[in-house]
Amino acid sequence: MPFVRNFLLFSILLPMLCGVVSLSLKPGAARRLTLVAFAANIAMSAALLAHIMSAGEGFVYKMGAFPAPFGNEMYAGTLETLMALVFSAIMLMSVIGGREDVERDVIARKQSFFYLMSSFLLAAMLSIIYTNDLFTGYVFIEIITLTACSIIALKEGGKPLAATMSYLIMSLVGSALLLLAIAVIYSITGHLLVPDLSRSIDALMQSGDYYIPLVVATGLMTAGVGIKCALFPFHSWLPDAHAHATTSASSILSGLIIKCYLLLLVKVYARVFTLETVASLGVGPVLVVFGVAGLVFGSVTAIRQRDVKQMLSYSTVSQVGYICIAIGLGSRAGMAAACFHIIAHAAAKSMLFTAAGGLIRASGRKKSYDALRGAARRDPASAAAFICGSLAMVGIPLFSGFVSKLYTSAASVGTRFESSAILSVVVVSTVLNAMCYFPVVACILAKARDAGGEEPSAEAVASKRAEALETGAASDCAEPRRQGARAYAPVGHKPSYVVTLAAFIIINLGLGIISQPVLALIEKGI
Amino acid sequence: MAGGLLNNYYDVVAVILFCIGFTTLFLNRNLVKKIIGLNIVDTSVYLFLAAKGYITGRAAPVIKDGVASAEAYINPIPAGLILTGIVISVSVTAFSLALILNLYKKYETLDLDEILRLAAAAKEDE
Amino acid sequence: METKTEKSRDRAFSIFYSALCALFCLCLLSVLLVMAAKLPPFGDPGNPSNNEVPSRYIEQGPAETGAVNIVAAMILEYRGFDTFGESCVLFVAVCAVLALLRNEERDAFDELLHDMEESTHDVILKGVSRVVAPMIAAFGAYVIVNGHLSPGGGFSGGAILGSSMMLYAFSFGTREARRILSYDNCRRVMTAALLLYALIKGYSMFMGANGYSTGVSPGAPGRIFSAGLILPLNIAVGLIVACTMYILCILFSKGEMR
Repeated sequence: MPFVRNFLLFSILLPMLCGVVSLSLKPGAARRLTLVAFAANIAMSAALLAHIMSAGEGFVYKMGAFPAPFGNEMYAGTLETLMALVFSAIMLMSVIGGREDVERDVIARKQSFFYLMSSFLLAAMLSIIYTNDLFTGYVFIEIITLTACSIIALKEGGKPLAATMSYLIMSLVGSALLLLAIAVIYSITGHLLVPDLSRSIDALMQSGDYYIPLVVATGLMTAGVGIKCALFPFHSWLPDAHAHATTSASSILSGLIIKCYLLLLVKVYARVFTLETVASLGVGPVLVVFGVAGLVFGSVTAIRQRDVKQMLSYSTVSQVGYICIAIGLGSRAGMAAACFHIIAHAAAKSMLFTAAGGLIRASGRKKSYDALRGAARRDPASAAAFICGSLAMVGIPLFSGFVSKLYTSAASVGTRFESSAILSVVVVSTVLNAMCYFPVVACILAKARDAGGEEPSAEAVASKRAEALETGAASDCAEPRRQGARAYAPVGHKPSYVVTLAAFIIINLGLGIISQPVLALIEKGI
Repeated sequence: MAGGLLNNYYDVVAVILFCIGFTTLFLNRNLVKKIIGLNIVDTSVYLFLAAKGYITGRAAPVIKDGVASAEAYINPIPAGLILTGIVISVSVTAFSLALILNLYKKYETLDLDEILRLAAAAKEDE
Repeated sequence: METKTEKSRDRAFSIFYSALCALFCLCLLSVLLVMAAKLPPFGDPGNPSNNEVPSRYIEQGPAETGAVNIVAAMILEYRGFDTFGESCVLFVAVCAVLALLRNEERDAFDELLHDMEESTHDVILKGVSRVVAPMIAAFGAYVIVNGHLSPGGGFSGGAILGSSMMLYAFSFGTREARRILSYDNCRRVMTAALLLYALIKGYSMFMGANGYSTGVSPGAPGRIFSAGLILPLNIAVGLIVACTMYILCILFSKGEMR
């Protein structure tokens, strides 16, 4: 066996060891260790991806001396490795990008815990991505539940605690449903391993035995994972939990953790139940209906927000709905579009949260649109990243969001759904997204309001909006303008923060411009 | 149907417990009672799993007198899964209780709705 | 007046919500009952779950792993990665609780032990626990090291060991208890045990995946020094569980809830 395949095991063990050691370290040392481990993880995942691309197919990794149905095993295909690479990279950038906020929001003694929890989070997410065994998946989901709740609660204050409590309760309900579903599936098939399960579920569908338990288990599993990834009727916990966490935690929660569950849903449908079974059980239409409802509800609520982090959180609700629509299409192309949007949204939303953190720091730590007025002048780097992220979310060509909209629309052709209906949903979501993001962009680009001065006229805002569209990534902050009485001074940044934002922008543009190889990898992997 | 219910009486009890736990979780506003409900739900799933491992007339899977025949012992897999599950629910319960303690110190109430109302009414910057 | 209408609206909403919940739970119950009736019959040897996997565990388990207790062989050897994840759950839970409750002063944990000094005038409690606590600890150690031979193992034995530590701390609470069972010592033991676990498990997974032998023989089933790596793994798990239970218990003893 080529040695490079062992990187799969190492990329899970390394963050775990680093997390265990972090308990005894001072915050600075814990941070450096964590960042080194995450960087090493990126390198290992990249090496694995290169190996799989050159080998032409994925491989199964035995976790121990005993082969598959008896021992644990991992499967690394192109989809898994690509996701691992993206998750490690975004994790590293989120932790670097939110460092200043962690240092302020979390009291000094507890900062080591933040890095400890992020290490365990990355290890657990990689295990869920790679695992080929449902019960292993359940165990690591519980690690994610604990660590995710804990990084929200680390921020001082009552609001994060209350948000954590509702998140925790919903998460535990989801876990209980998932565990019951796994138990039922085990009792009717006798397997926990994905390939074996897929074979025996196929046989059960052929023979018609245990049809009712199979349907109930599918429903329980979809509901369980749906609660955890905030699918529409179960989304109530998400906005508070994501909005009240510290910057890094928000971008990890919104960018990665939700995506991890969605990816699990894709894997369960595509690998365990197979697409034909899912189609005959009628899961697709349900997902599409809830997805559309979530998309519309999330966007409309996001438009009404006047707090930038709340707006971003509600926008996550709508994007989860969007991904569920793509999953619910039930075709391989739909699954591929969903996976691409998982990556695209992970990159865009973590960048938005990181940049929003920078803008909020530059605006006296206030999150309302009013306070953010003129933030582009105080903090051009963050503003550039925020605008870039907004354009990606709206789906302007050249950005990642555009490609996923294109592929979802293309995937809807030839499925049982009217492609005109799906197309109109895509168009509506574009319009609603634009309505969410442009008020914020207009606010940060506008002139800072003088004390007692009047607000910029609607025309000025509109021209700013057009300007934002034209200049795109390049912030137009250099434009000379008479400066009013500014409420807050411009802020300086650590070089690492600016480099992180630049890397985020490059990833988002890269996903939009060179989307073809990424999609090829995803389609090969499903 | 009735025969199936009578035969699978462990499953029936587990399912009823599951729903009792869920009802406790939803209908009580007291956080500690909610956590108790969640524990009932977890326990019911373990009962369900334990029933899946049992085979009538066979012994626990600890090899006795060198009889290593699959005909003599019950299925060990659900037992292992339950062990893992129990440890997880202990951990999660400990974390929830710690969180409840902190919330109680902050808001002096255990009522979740009240806590969420107080948290929403609080000023933005603490 | 306004608050009154608001209150009645709240009450109407909560009645509506309760009714909805009850209805939902009844629906869930009926669906699950129908499912339970259709599940494989209870206790039948021909059920789908009694396939080649448990047969191999029972028939080959003692030869392949050296453990007589098949459940121990399964969780620590065959499906060892799950159990590694489980130990990590415990560790993460302790860290999360520490982060939440260890708020005030630097040594809140040791202060707590110090505070207990006042409640140690009970002669009977002290006398009894002086005899009983070591016995419980010895029993816990017995359960841990016999994990591969009899029912029990790291998790149950660790819980027993932890309870003897709690008894010791609650009844004595002296400086002596603080010296031995301080937070720093527990943390060191827990970290070392989990690192040991990770290294052993990582080594055996690495060797197994690459097709090498671990170089540890399973030994003769039934002996105390047998079952290869299961014994050290059980000891590591036992130490993690004992320290976890003890730290959680001491941290919770501070909180008061009416």
